[in-house]
Amino acid sequence: MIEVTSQASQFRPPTTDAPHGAERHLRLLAGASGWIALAATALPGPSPLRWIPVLLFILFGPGCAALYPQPDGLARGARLEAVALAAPVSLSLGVLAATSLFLVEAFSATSLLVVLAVLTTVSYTHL
Amino acid sequence: MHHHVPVPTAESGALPAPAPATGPQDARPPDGGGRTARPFPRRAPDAGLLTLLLAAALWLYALPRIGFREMGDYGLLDRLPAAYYLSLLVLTAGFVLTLRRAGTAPWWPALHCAALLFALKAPPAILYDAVRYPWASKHDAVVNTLLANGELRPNAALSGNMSAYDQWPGFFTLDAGLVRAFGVESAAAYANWAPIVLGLLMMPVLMLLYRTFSQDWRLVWTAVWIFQLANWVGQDYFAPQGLAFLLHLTVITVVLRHFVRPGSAGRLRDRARLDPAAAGVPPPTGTRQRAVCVAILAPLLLAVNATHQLTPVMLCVCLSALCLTRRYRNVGLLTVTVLLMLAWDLTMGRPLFTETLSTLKESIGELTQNSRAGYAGELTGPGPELAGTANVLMVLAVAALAGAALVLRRRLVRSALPLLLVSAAPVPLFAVNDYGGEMLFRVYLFGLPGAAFFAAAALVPGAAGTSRDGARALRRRVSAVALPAVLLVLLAGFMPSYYGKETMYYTPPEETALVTRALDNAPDGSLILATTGSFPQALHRYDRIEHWFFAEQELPENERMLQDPAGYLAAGIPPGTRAYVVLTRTQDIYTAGEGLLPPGGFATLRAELAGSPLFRTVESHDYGVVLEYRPADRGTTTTTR
Repeated sequence: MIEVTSQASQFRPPTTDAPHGAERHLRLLAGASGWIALAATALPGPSPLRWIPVLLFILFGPGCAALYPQPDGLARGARLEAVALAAPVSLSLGVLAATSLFLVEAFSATSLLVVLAVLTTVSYTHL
Repeated sequence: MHHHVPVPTAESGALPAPAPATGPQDARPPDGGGRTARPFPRRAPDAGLLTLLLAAALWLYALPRIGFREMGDYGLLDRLPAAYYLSLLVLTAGFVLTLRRAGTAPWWPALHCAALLFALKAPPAILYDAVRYPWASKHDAVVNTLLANGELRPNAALSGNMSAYDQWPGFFTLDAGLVRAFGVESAAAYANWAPIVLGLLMMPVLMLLYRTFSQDWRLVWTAVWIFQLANWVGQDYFAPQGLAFLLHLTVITVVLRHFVRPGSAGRLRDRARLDPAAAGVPPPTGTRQRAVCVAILAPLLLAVNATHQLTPVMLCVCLSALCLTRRYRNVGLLTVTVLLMLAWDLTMGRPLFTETLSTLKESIGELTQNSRAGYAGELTGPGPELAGTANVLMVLAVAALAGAALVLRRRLVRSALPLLLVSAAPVPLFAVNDYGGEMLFRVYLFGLPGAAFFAAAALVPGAAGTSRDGARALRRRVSAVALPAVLLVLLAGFMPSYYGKETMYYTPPEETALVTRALDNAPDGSLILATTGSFPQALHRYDRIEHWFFAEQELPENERMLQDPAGYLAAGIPPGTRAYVVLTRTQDIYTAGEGLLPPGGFATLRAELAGSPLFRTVESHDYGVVLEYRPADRGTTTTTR
C-alpha cells in the first residue's frame, strides 16, 4: 500500500496503539458493508434504509478495502490520504465493475453489488 | 512501502498563525513541535460553532421562501430572501474567523467549506421538482436506455452523436446500478444532488493536493473556499465530466505525492529556501515503487477512460506538462496513460474518435472559434447579461489573484511549480477543438484547482518573520482586510454566475410532462424538431427517435429561417418522415437568453408554424406546443387546452 510517512496527519494527535477491539469491529463492519448494502436492496421502494447503506457502500466500501487493508490500521501519515482517496477509488471500481457487467450482458443491481461486495470482503480478509 | 526522508522537509504539525509568529518557521521542530506546548484554543471553535449554527438557522429560514417558481429576468437572484444572503455572509465571517486558528483546529474552516458548498448549491436539490439544467435530463435518458437495453451499443450510430454515451459509458453504467439498487424510478430522483456529492468528495482530494504544496492550513482551506466560489461553471451537475474530473484530480494528486524522482528536489530540500508556508517536497520513490504506484493507479486511469472522452486527453496533457520538470519526469506513467487512452479510443470509442480526428484538421488553430462559450449568440436579457459579465469578471479576478501570487510568493511558486504547470497545461487545447462550444468551460475547470491555490497564496500572508519585520507586518495588515473583502467579492460574483440564468435551468413539471407525452406518442423513427436541445426530456427515447435542433446555428441563419419557418423546416425534413415540432417555454427562454433567436423570434416562430397549413397542432399550452408535420393536410388545425 502507498504510505507517506512525511505527510503527517494533524487531525489526530499521536496516540499509542489503536484500540484493537474497536478496530476489529470496524474492519468487520467495513468488510461486510457490501453484503449489508445488498440486503438493504430487498427493502421495497426507495426508502432511506435502502439507499443510504447502498450509497455509503458504493462511495466508500471498495475504496476503503483497497486502501485500508493492514490489520493494524494505517500509519498516521497515510490516514489522511486514505480518507481522501477512498471515494475516488470506490467510484472507479464501481464504474469498471458496472461497465464490465454491461459488456458481458450480465448487469443487474444484484450482480454489481455482489461483485463489489466480494472485492471488498476479499480485500479485508486477504490483503 | 515506507518512504523515509532524512531531511526534515515534511509538513510540520505546527501551523503558522496569522498573529505575530513565535519565531522563524524553520526553527521549529520538524515533527510537529509545539503541538503539546500550545493550549487548545477555546474561543475560535466556539465562534466557529456559533457562526455555523447561525448560518444554518438563517439558511433554513430562507429555504421555503425561495421563490423559484416565479423567477423573472434575474433568475434566482431576486428570488432568494435576504436571510439566504445573510447566511452566506455569516458563513464567510465564520470562515475568516476560524481561519485564524486553522493551525490547531483545521476542522472548523473545513466544516465551513462544506457548509458553504451546501448553502450555495443545495437549494435546487431540495426545492426543485424537476432536474436542474434541462440538458441534464439527457443523461437521465441515457441511463434509462441502458437499463432498457441491458447492453452497450457503441456502434449504433444514433443521431446527435448519442452513441458516444455508449462509447464512454462508465458514469451511466454506475448510475444504472444506483437506480436499481436505490429502488428509484430513474436517476432524476437524485440527479440534483450531484453537485453536492461530487463537491463533498472533491474537498478532501483538494485538501490533499494543496497539502502537498503547503503546510499552512490557512492557505489550504482558503484555496478550497476559493475553489468553491470559483466553481460556478456548472460542470459538476449530473454528467460524466463531474465524476471524471474528480478521478482526474485524484490521479494528479497521487502523482504529485508519490512520483517524485530520487535526487530531483535539489535546493527545495533546504527549508531555508522555501516559502514559510510551503511544504517540503514529498519523499522520492524508486523505479520499482513508482511501477507499483502505476498499477495502483490503473483502476483510476481506466475509469477515467471509461467515463469521459475529453478528460483522458486533459490527463495526458497534464502528465506531459509534469514531465517538463525534473521532479516528475515519469515517462513510464505517461506512456501507460496514453496507451490506456488509445486502447479505449480505438476499441469502445472508435466511432467518435475517428470522426473527431477527421474534423480536427478544420478546427486546429481556430483559436477564437474554439474558445467561444456556447453556440453562436450573444447573451440577451438582464439576468444572462449579468451572468455573462460576472463569468468574465470571476475568471479575471481569479487569474489576477493567482498572477499576484506569482509575483508576491515567488518561493512558494517555485516549490509548487508542478501545480502551476498542471493548471496551465490544458489552456493550449483551445487551439485544437471547441468541444461543442464548451472548451472554454472545461479549460477553466481544469485550471481551477491550481488557480485557487495561488489565488489563496496571494491573500494569505506567509507567517515567518517577526512583528519587527515591517514589510511582512504591513502585508499581514493588508491581508486582514483583503482576505474577507476578496472572499465577499468572489461570493458576489458567484451568485449571478451560478443563479443569474436560472430561468433557463428550472423547468416546470408541466413542461416535462408535455414533452414526455409528445415523445412517447411519436412512432419509432419519427423526427423531433425543436429550436434547441435545452429543454426537459429532449432526448427521451433517443434510441428510437431522430432529432433536429434547428436553431443551434449562427443568428443570421436563424433570421433567414424566421422569414419562412414552415418552408425552412419542411425543406429540411426528409420525404416520408413522420415529424413533430416541439416548442416549449424553456426553449423560448434559452434561445432568447443565449441570443440564438432575435427578440420576439420564438413567438413569431410558434405563431407562424401553428398557423401554417403544413403543421397540425397536436397539443398547445402556455408552456409549450406540439405540432405534427402534415404536408398532405391543408387547414385541419385543432387546439386543445
